[in-house]
Amino acid sequence: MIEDSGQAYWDDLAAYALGALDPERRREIETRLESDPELRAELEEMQEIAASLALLVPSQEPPRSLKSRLLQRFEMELQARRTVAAPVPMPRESAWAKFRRRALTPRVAYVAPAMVMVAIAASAVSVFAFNSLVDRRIEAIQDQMQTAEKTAESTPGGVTAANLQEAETKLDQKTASRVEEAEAKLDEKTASRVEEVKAELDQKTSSRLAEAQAELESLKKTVNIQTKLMQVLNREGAASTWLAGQDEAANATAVLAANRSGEPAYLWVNGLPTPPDGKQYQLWLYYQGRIWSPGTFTVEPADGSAWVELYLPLAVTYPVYAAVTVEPQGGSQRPTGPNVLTSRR
Amino acid sequence: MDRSAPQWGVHVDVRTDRVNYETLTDEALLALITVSDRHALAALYDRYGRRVFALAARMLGDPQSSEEVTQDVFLSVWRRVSSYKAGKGRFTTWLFSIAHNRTIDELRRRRRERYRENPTLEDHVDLPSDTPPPPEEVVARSEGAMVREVLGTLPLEQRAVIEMSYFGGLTQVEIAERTGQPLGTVKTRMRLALKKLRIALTERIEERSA
Repeated sequence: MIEDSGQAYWDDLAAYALGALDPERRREIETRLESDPELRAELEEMQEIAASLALLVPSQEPPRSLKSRLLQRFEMELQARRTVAAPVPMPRESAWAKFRRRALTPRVAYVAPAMVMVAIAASAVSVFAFNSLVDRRIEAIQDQMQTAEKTAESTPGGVTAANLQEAETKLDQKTASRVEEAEAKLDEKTASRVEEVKAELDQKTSSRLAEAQAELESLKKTVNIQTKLMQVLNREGAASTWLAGQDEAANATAVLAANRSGEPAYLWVNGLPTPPDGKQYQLWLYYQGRIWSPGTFTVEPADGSAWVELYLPLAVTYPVYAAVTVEPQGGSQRPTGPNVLTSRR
Repeated sequence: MDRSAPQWGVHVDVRTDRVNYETLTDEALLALITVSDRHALAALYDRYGRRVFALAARMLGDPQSSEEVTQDVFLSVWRRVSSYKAGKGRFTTWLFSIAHNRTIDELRRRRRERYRENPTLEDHVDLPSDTPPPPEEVVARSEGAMVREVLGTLPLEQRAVIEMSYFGGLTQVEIAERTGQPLGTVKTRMRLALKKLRIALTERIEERSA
């Protein structure tokens, strides 16, 4: 175990950049890096030097088949990712009709009869149970009658035919009312079970539908973003500026894509936290000694993403330095809040 | 002005909208890889596949494993693209770090396996020696040549630790054991070597741009 002083981390930084630490020490350094920005900055410089060592090796042409194997593995993993992400299989060409026909309809068609079968089976079990209950009750009454008859016979001058008739009638009435009662209860139970099953079925179907729709929407959004970025970057004078997350928004990223053709530029943001109440994000561009803001924007609460269309002044020269700050609702004249995203100056 | 609302009004036919990926910057390609664009990954491979493959082949000395490592490296770029911080260093630094770390893992895995099979076998690691450096025309003229030139100015023992660690995949403890030098000396040599490289490379770059 290496002593845990701050200096020991600095001493091992070169070895870290050269890949010359054992895994345990490597992890220790990584933990320390999270809370030590100075150490991190030093490491970044060392890593840049270490990476330049790779250039010492003359380029070597890999076999031609390697590229197709790489792309094949990429496709497989992409497919697996999509399958894991989407419980309902998504058609590759996202035609809505195809989607409905293949992914959704069969599920509903299979699921619905299956649920009804379950309901019928449940009812059948209830009816069977009820029948045996009634049978046992009738047996018990017959037993009682026999006992009463025996008692009457053994009691001198006791039981008359009329008494017996009366007793039988009473018993019949009682049995009939019990049967009615039980039947009513059974009807009620079956009906409520059917309602329950129907509600469950509705809920499941609609949640599946919602999931599938959400997945489709996100896929459409991705395709749209991809296409727009391609359009912008494919024109003459295209330039992109990357913005990296700062401090609490360390995981956020953004790219500003623009060209000189007079078309709108786009800012695509990912992973920004929802700003505090009454605050908004504002984009700033720094060029030719000027600060200019194209405006404010909000992010999707679910994934902190934003897709912002911008019209930049033609005077903007690239690469442009850009930053995003937290500002009061409606934006500010000059940046006042903390930087959450900045590009390299 | 609040333009946060997504602008999905324009219908674009992706199939007819051809993009010349070769002309895009590394950063633009990465932006497209973020949304799993196959062609962007292919373009990045076309640009850097030879370098990554060469590094792996130099360290592993075996084309088959080098191919596997190269594949893994580019898939890692796709899987980890969101962790790439554009403002913090060049893309190639990030790419070569991934490539180097992945190759070192493979190198050490093999050593462990070999050791299990035959614990007495010594590993062969290339040491920098008096062997002449590769001819000028083989090394990429610009940056590679500059790094080679600067490395050549370092004292032999500093070059040795760089070679043994970066290309040989040895840890600082292993280097100390093999060279019989105290661990502290090995650490100091590594630090000094990187520091000198940094200063000399910065000077050269400034000279060139002046």
